[in-house]
Amino acid sequence: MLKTLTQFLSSLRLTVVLLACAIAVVFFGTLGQTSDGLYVAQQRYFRSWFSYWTPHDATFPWIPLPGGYLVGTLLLANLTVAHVTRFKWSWNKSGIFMTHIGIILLLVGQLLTDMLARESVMSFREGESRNYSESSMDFELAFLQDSGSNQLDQVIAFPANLIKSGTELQHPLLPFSIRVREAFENATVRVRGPMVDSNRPPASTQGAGRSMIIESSAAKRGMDDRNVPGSVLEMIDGGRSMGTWLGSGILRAQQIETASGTWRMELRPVREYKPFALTLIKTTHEVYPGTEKPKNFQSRVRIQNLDSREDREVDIYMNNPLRYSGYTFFQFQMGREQLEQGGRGTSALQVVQNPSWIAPYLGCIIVGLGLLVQFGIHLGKFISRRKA
Amino acid sequence: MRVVFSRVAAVLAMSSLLMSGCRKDDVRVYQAPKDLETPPSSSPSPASVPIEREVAKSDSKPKGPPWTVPSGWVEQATSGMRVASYLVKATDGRAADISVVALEGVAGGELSNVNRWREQIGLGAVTEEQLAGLRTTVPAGGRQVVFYEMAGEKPVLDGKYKARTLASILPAGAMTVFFKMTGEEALVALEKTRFLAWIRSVETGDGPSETEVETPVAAANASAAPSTQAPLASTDSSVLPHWSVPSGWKDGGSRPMRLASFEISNAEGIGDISISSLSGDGGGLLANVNRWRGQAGLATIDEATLKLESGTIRTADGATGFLVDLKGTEKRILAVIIPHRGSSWFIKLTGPTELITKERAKFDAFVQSIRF
Repeated sequence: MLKTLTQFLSSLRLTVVLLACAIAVVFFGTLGQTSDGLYVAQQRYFRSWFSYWTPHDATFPWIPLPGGYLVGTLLLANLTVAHVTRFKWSWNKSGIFMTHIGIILLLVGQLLTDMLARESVMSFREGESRNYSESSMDFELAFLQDSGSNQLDQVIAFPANLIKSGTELQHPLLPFSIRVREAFENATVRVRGPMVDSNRPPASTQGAGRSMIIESSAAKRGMDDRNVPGSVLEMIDGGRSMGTWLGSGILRAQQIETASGTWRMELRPVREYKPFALTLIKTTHEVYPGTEKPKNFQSRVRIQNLDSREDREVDIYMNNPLRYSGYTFFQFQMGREQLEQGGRGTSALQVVQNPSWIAPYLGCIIVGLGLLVQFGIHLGKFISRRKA
Repeated sequence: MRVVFSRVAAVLAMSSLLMSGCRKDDVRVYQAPKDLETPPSSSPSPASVPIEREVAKSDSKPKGPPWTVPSGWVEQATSGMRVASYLVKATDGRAADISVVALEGVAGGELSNVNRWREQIGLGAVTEEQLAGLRTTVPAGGRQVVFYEMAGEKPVLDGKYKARTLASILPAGAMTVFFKMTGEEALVALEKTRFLAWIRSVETGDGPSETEVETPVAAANASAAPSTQAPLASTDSSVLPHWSVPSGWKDGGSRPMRLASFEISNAEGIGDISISSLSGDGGGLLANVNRWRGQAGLATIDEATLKLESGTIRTADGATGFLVDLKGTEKRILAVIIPHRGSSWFIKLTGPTELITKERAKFDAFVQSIRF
């Protein structure tokens, strides 16, 4: 049994089949992006153990596919087992050894990147400071209460995927439970207009939703599209309804008064707090004369770190990210708010944290060196034979 | 071989562990630093209010728009203040955007909105006197409403097209609706007939009465204006004066254009108290009073009559406010305008006549408790 498993896992046929599967996953995953969009296609075809592809018109049966995780894991196992069981060390095979180590490092590094790397966005207007970045895809329903300290809030955050119609959310620290009356992956929330909405009731009985309406919108899958979730939430205190509130990614925090104090509720992008703050000092948006083509996007930011007592200004612009405290801040977007809101420059920085960022570089270098060594050895032997 | 197997098993176990290690459905509990620049939040809501209205049911099919959509206009997504949106495109890429924006109150006033639209297409600002010369009226919703047409002189669209804007303002109950088309100059000129037919087809019907909110007539430099990106909850308690809230007045929650709201609910009905502030004279005492008189079902008055019918009231820190008491047949309005440091503060109580009579003493006491 053990021998059979080992033979299977170390088989070259398995390698060929897995490489063919990898090609199929990449091919159908690329096709899938047209209907699912980049993010969903990544999740469905590459960050999964199994998947299937369905054509647009769906007139013929779907094609079952292995997921990226399955192919990657089996390739890793195949290479590792083959290496351990078949490879016999000698200087003549040192290049192959290095190449195998490099490929294993690439596979493991990719797995670690997939598991550990985080991308988020820090957006602010000139003069504003941020000590957190926000997910560009995931939302959370956050309840905040003053912790008693002037500096801190107690936060209880439910991930948006728990907010489903008919469910009830509870937490021991919350004095009320949340009954989800309606939930939409992508919702339109707007002012309840005269004439247009005379037959629609307000979205909620409490908070900002009293003068707004909510309606479902088709979920967006495009690369540059973003769904803004919306929900109608009923707060229940000791079995008694406190009313309904409108949760929406476009609304600011709303207050909920309870006997034990005031809570603030916000449906917002998932936040990741930093031990330092960035302040946007100035934005520079230059275009080539006579065109709208961007020449330079530049954000001047001030870094303030109370722990290290650091207080300095840096420029972040295209191809010149800020690397600080394990994060890399790339210049992402730039704009200007409307005149009636102040007309200030706005900037969005992409914040990347990837502890295993070095792995692919090291893997590629080792593979390259391994191939050089192996070809060098063969070349040496060839030259020796010719001389002889 | 056993060693080999254990190594393989370790690799697979590590992979599985890594892949299952990060769960996305965990509730996070943590202490976080307060926002460095906290956005204004909505006002507190009453602690215990029964659900008075059912929330929107998914099976309640909304009726179509209360107007006839011209052919060739393609419906677009709506959000925020924009309650309807259309797009017209020419084959060569020129386009015009049509929007319907609803705001409570008078939403910044005509002059500031027209000047903002002018600025968007590269035109200079006009004065109140010049505005009168630009204004025409067109039929909409069975009445005459103001209409503006403005053509830009500079290529502001993609750096090569001049822009033209058509806009009409329709007061609808406690709200104001802005119908606007803006886009490439020639295309908008071509679409003008359809635009006018469109607003003529508007059926006003009944507006949402429960959100009846009052905003004073705005001065030219008032900040609020229809915008698709306008803040949705914008009460900033840091600018509020101090006051004592009378017993029985409940917080009325956050409302656009208001700095604070209170509600009174008793056997006589429901009363609404609004507190708002605008820079300058907020449109002037007479204009505001006459607008309120219209709401109470009373005829307009002139400056001389206003002097006879208005009184004064003093706040706790000595600021003097002008007080009017407008008694309609069913509705009564008590309103105070307090000029203070270049701004005008509006405190207004609206409700059934009996309720206002009962609450008059509390209203006076509230105004007299204000400290700026």
